Amino acid sequence: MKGLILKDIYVLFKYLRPYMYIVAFFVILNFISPSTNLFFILYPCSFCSMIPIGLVSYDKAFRWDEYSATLPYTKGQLVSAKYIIALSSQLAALTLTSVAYAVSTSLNGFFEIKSFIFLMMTVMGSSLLTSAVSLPLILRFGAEKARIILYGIVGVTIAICTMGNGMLSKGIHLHYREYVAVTVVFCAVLVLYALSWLLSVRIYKRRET
Amino acid sequence: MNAIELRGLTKKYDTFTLDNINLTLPSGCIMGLVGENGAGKSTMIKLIINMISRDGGDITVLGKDTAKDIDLIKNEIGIVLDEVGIPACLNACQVERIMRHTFKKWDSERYRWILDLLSIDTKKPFGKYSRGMKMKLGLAVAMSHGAKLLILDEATSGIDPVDRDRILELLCDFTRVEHHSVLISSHIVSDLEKLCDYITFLHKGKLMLSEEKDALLSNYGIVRLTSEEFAGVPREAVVYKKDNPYYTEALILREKLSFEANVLPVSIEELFVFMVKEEEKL
Repeated sequence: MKGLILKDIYVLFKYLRPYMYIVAFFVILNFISPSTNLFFILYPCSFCSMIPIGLVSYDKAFRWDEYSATLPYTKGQLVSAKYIIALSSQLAALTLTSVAYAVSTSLNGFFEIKSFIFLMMTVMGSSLLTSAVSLPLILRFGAEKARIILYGIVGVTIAICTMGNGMLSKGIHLHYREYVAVTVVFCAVLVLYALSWLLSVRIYKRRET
Repeated sequence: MNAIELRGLTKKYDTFTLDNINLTLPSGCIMGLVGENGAGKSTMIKLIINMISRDGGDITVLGKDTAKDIDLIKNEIGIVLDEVGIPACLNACQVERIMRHTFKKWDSERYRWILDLLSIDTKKPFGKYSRGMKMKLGLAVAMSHGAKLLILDEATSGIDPVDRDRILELLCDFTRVEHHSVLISSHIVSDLEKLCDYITFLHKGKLMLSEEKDALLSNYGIVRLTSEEFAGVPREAVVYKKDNPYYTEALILREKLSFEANVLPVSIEELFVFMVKEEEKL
């Protein structure tokens, strides 16, 4: 499967550079922003969950989807490569933006580890949820139709940001029970991501190239 | 062991059916697949490599059932379809890095040797290649991982005659190694005539014939006779006939001709065209 991931990385660096520029832009914003804004962390991560849509779209355009079917890869491996890329790119975006956020809030004197972890779980959870929903749809209906999902993702991101920003501006003061609830929801998203992975493999196995 | 065995292979679409195909490619041989556009050549090839599901029949490749072992088999076969789907941004060196992690027996030295032989620019991105160059890179990949069987679908189309000749030589060299086999479909029937041991004709999803090339060429011939002379030709000897104002031209089975006549050799292309025309008359 290394070959598949390497190919996706080549395509990502050549055609999907805007994703990297946007992540870099938000990392800088997190550093220089005087106030905390959830949008600056959540958006780059959610945006990276769109990378597989771009990759599937390029695969179709280059007819890689047909060519890869002639190579010694199982359909499971072909699908897994996209899930691994989605997960790694979101983790990379989260790491960069969260480091920027942590440094910025520490310098301003309001860094708090518990709320930081809460934030990271919320961001990664909602971002993974996006991938978990969009990837099976992309593989079932194709990247073109799946673009409609983009509008949904933007809507959900804005909704989460609006709610989250209210909490951030007041400071996050959660009780133990609420931390547990967030952790449970985050774990549920991880399970959903794994189920989505399995579902996508099933969808792809039925598809004829 | 046979390289490919198809038994009762069937695939049904709304407007097309590949119907009950039976054929055998013995190992160590080259089989040419001839058919008009839409005859079912690509469908048959996609079925062989399990890219599409079959509605009936059995497929064995290198002694293994493709329904169960296709992922194992793909390490032992090289495949070039009518379009090589390598991303446009990749150059031949990047393709090599990907394939090194893809095939178990990837041979970088052989890959570079083929790139040299076919004068493939290793720095240029794939998207900037001509169609011929793209097919050549596809072939280089297919022939660099110790494959025992090559399956090529229109792999020589769009390639200039000099490079085509190099590729045909490369394919001949490939089959000089014991048990190496090739299944190749092409519209350039003259290439297949030069290269192949076996010829298979497909027409509208049906197998018209699958025989040794030498037997085909010696069994069939063309006669041009006046209508009086032609009246003496037994009906069972005539595969196809075409009347001209001055003579009748016919494709005949030599062994069924009961009298001495000047029988001209037939090319595979003529044989296919005549057989299809006769089929369409019926």
